[in-house]
Amino acid sequence: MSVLFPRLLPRQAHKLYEEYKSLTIEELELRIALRHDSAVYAATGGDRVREKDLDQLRQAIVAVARVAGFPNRSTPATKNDFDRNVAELLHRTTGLAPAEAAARDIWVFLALVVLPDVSFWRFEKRTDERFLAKDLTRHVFGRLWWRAHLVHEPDSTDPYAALSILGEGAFDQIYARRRALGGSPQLVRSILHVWHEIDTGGLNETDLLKDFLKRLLRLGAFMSFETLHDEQLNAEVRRAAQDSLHAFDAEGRPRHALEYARD
Amino acid sequence: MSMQAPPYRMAPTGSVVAGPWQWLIDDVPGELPDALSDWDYRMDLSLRRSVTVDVDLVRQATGLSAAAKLTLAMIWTASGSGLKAAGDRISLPETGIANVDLAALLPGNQLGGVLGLETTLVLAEYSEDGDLASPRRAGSILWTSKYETRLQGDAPLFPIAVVDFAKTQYPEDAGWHVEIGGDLETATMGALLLLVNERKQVLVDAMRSAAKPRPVDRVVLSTVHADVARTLVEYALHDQDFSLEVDYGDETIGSTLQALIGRFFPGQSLTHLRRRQGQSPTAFATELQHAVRIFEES
Repeated sequence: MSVLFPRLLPRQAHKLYEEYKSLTIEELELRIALRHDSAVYAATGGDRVREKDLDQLRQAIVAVARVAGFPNRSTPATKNDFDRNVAELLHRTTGLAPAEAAARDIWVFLALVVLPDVSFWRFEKRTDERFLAKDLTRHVFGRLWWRAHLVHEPDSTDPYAALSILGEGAFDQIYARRRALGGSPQLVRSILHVWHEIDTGGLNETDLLKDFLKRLLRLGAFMSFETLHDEQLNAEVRRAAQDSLHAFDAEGRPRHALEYARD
Repeated sequence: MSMQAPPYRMAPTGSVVAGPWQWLIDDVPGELPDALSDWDYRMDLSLRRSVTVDVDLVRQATGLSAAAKLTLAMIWTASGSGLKAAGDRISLPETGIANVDLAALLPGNQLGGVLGLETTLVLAEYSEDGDLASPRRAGSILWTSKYETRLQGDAPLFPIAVVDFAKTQYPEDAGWHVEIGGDLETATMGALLLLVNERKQVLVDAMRSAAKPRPVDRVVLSTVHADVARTLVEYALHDQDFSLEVDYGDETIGSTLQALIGRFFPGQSLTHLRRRQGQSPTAFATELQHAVRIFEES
C-alpha cells in the first residue's frame, strides 16, 4: 500500500521560499503547518497521508535535529549524522512508493510547510535548490529518501548500514549518474560495498571515485549489471575499481601530492 | 540505454527467438498491451515471456567455450520511479536448444510511467578461455530486446490531481491547468501535473472514466488532450534553451517535448515553428489542432 503526500505547486512554493529565506528559525517555527490550501494530491495510487502522521513525522525529524544541534548552529559532522538518521527515518516510516517519491512537489511541501524551521537550519546558505526540488538530488529531504531507498537491504539485520559508507559529496557522484548507474539499487549497493573494501592508499578519494564511476559508465554501454547475481556483480565492480587504482598508481604518485605540488 | 559496437562478438539475431510478453491476470495470460490504462501503484504486474535460445549457435558466433556460463534475464525499468532491477535470471545449459520461460512479479509500488522490459542474454561469469574476440566480462550483453508499456494509460499521460481551483491561485471557473516544473532534464513523471478543477463535474467524470469513456467523456478527453498538447508545444517553443538536437535523457521533459514536436510537426525545425507561431499564432493553433487530430478516435 502506498501513501500519497500533499504536493505544493511551484508558484506557491516560490512565494513561500522568497518569504521564508530571510526569516529566523524562531520566525519559521511560527509558520509550521500540516496543511496548505494550495496543496494537491495525485488522483490515484494510494491513500492520503493523515495529518496525524505528518505531525508524527515532524516530531521525529525535529528530535533528530535537536541531537544535531537544532535550532543552534551545528558542525558538518553533526549534519552528516542528521542526514543519515533522517534518510532512514523518511524511508522507514513514510510509506512512500518510489513513483510517489519521484514527485518533487511532495518534498517541497515537507520542506516549506511541515518543516520550514528544520529545512532552513539544515542549509544555512538557503539556496533555492535545497527547498524547491528543481533537482531531487539536491533537495533537503528528497535526496535523503532516495539515498536510503537505493542502499536499503530489506533482508539485512541492519538494512540501512550502507548509509554510513559515503558522505554527501561522494553519494552525489553516484546519484548524479542516476540514469546510468543510480537507478539500480543492486548496482548502487555493489558500488558502496566495493568502495568500502578497497584500500585507497592515500589517493585523492574524490578523483578516484569519479574515475571508478566513469569506468562503470563506459562498461554499462555493453554490460547489463542487473543480470548478474551479487557475487558476480561485485567481482565486476571490483575489477573496475582495481583498474582505477592501477591507473592512479601508474601515474607514479598520489593525486593529492600532485595537487599540493601545484599550489 | 542504446548499445553501441561492443568490443566483442555478439550472438546472431536468429540465435534467440522471443515470444510476446504476457500479462497474467488471475493466472490467465494475455498479451501485454502497450498501455495499461487501469494500472495504479497498488497493482503488481505478473509477466511472462517464452524465449528459445540456440546455445550452440550463440557459442559458435561469440567464440565462447562450452564452459562459459550464459544467463537469460529480464530487466525492468520504470520511468516514473527511475528504478531498474532484475526479474528472472535463468542459467542456460552448456549446449543444445534451450526453451526458457522468463517470469517476473513486478511490485506496483516501484513502478510508474513507462515500463521498459529488457530481455537480455549475457555472459554470466568472467571468462578468459574464449576466442580472441569473445566477451570476457560477466554481464557482457550477447543479445537483447526491449519492449515498453505505458502504465496509467494514455489519458493520464502524467499524474492528475483533482482539486478545488478556488483554493489555488488559478481562476475558480477554469477547467484545468498544466503544471510544468523543473528544467528540461527533469523526469517527466515527477515534473508534470494536470490539475483538474473539481467544480467541473463533467471534467472530473471524464477523467474517472478514461479507461472506459462514454461518448461525452471522449469529447471532453479529446478537448483536454488537444489543449494539453498545445500548452506543451507552446512551452517548448517559448523556452529558448529547448533544442531538438540535445540529448535530455529518456523520459525527461526535454525528450517528451522533442517527441511531441516530432510527432506533430515531423521534419520541421524549431526556428521555423517559432517563426510560424510568432507570425500567426491563431493559424499555428489551428495547425496544432489538426496535428493532434482533435475529436478523432485514436
